[in-house]
Amino acid sequence: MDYAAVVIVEVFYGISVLVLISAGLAVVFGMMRVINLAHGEFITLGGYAAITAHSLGVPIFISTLIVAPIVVAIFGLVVERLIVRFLYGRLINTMLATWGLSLLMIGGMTMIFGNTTTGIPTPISGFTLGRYQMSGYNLFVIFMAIVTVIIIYGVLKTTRAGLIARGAMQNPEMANAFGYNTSRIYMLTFTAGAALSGLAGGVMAPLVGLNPASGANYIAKAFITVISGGTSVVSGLLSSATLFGSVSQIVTFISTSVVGEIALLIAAVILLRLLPTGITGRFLKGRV
Amino acid sequence: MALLPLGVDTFTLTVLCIYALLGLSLGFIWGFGGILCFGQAAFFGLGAYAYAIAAINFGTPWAPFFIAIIFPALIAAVFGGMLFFGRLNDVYLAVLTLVFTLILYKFMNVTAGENYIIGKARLGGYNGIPGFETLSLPWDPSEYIYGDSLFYFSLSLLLLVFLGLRWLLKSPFGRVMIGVRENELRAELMGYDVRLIKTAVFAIGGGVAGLAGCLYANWAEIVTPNLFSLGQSAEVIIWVIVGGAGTLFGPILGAAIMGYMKFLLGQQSLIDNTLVMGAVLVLAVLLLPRGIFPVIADRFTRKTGRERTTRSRSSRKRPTRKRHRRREGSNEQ
Amino acid sequence: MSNNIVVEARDLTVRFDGVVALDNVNLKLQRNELRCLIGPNGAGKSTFFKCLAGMQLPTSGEMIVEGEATTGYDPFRVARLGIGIKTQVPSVMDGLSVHENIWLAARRTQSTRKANGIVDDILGRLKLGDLARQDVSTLAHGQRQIVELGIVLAGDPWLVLLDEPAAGLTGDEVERMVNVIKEINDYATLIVVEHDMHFIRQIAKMVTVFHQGRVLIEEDVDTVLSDPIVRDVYLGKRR
Repeated sequence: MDYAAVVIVEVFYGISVLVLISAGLAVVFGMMRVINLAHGEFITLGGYAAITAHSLGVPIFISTLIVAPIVVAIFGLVVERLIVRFLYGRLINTMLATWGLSLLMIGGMTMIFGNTTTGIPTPISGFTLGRYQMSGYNLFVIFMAIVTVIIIYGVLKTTRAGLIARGAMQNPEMANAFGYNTSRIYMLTFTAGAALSGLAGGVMAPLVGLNPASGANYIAKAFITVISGGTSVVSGLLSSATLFGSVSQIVTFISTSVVGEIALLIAAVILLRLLPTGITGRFLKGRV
Repeated sequence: MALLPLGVDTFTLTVLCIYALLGLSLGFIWGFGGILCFGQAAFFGLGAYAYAIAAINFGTPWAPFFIAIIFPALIAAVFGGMLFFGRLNDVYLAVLTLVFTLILYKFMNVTAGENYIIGKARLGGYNGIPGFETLSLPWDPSEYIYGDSLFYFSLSLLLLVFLGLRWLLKSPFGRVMIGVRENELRAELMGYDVRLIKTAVFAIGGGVAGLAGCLYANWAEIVTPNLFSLGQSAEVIIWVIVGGAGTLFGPILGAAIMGYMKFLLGQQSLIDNTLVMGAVLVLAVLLLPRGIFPVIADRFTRKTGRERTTRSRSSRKRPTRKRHRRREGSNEQ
Repeated sequence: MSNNIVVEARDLTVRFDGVVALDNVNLKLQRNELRCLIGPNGAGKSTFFKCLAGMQLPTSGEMIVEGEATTGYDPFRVARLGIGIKTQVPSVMDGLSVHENIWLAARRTQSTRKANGIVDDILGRLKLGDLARQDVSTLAHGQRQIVELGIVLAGDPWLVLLDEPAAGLTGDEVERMVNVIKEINDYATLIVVEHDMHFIRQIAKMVTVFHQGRVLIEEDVDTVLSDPIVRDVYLGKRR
């Protein structure tokens, strides 16, 4: 019984991590059809921002939940203005340029923070469930994933800004004709995506040892979660994160965590082979 | 050596040749086959590992040499076939090829320990496989090919592959392949099985990358999982972009220039190597979408006034942009 | 059913996200016929064409070519049956020369030497000789249409499908197109999807009119063109 509870929490945790690390990419890909290959480095940057703020004496939750998203959002804004905005509509070129950006950021972070692994302590202590030791922070990660999804859904579905953004992405000319500045909407969407990546970096910071190349651990998973989900931001993110999170956690239980990750990647290859337009492209068309 | 004033020895020149070969493999499938593979390092690594594992098992170098070409080509054929027969294109192709390399990278990193042994070869996980038999003269196994002779050997292979690919592009198969790049639908309506052609092109690219990997294994005398790293895949793409896809010479030039730059950067510690590579890629995509070589070649032809410009301008490559436009069109359906 | 029926569509239906593009279409085509498919925009004629060419998978129904069910065939398999297809937007290989384009089409079934001969023959027939070495991307729209026709002919098809062959042609080129189509009809079966009534009048024998995804009427050209319902459909008076 206790064991079942542990397994369930772990599976939910696996799904939540995928949701968190993919959310920023999902917003940017789903809304703008832009794939940001520097997404992993955005998350890493969020982690560094949180750790640096914490070491300067900022309380941990402010560092991870506020400082990290803001720093990465500003960085994302700069990137959008300097690079991404010249490449809209050229999917492959955007991928290539952001891949370059990813290398640039790895190099830059290596020069600033050094090629060592750092981290911050977990702010929530563990507890025991029957015979099992549970991490309280894992529950917090699940909570944050739920909050993130609710925020994205709420903004897209209920606010005026979300409506305008969705409209502008569907039909830029029309939005322009209505007097909305699509260039600004793209800019803000990209910035919002970056903020979500920063948040993921902040939330994940206490869980992982951070080094400049950490991004590679995130990018593949985030990438395939988003692509497999398809272009519907929320339902795509949730459905594919659920699928891959379950697969990798269950395989991890049976085997080791690396095998779990490999299983996740293989599941993605098979899924995309069967459903080239992603889960939502096939089953949940037209949802947000 | 004539190039010594540049501060390069044959040891470095050898690896430049190897890089050029790897760049050529991607330049071939991308520039002429219209297939953008984000994980060309996978076949490079597979070639290197195939050589090392086979060399340890056989104890002789020449059978492994051919295995190192054929094995990656076969894997490329199977994997590529899966993608192309599923009609995956553009971004999905990019994602899956990238994921493919990552799977290999992660897998090779955890193969330390007794469980991961192929024949007599231990995969060695993070530490890789050292201590395998390297290439020697077929008629005199005690005479190893290394140093200067490995450079000349690599250079001749590069030349051979270059000429081979050039011949292939002129052959009917090559012309069909370029036709597929230019217009997949039309090639299909002519009755060509585009899936099969792309799979074949991908396999050839895999074989050439495997050959590069094999030479790399002989040069470094060790193979490690880093051969499969994302950085390695990115570098190949950088070479091709800088040199210019759509020509065979461009990727070679790009690999040589960037390889040499990496060598120079390796001699100082002020600026991080990866940072420079990244900056080059960003700037190349933004400012030089066609690469350096086509620009130089255009200037050259204009100067000499040869009437080649219209042809070269359009056959020289913008598949990225063009293919994307086509894809957008198909999205509307 | 007579053996002379070479193409048959049975209850062909295509739906896109709830929109019915083709609604239970039944159609038969005799050997050596020259059939025109007409109808206003969105009538389903192009969708039908794409189903036949293997470019669109029908939601239900069957397509039968010479007794072989081709439903769900990829375009290359359709082409290999000896069917030549010209698409609506000229589909040519932009970076290649006119000669290379036509050569590639001929080379699929022929040796290099024979293919060269075929290309020369077609360049002569279509009066493209002067343009042979030019890049197709540099040509005007009408010339590209002709080049695409050359590509189709180079495959020596027994059934030729043409989607809006007259679109964007100059008066001179239209005349050339009419002649070529009549010439092809001497030895091959043709399906022509067209918009332009003037052009239809010059070539058509049997005409099938599509309207709202269905076959409205199928008669010889004079009957169809004098039919008041057809006229209304074209002028948009009906529904």
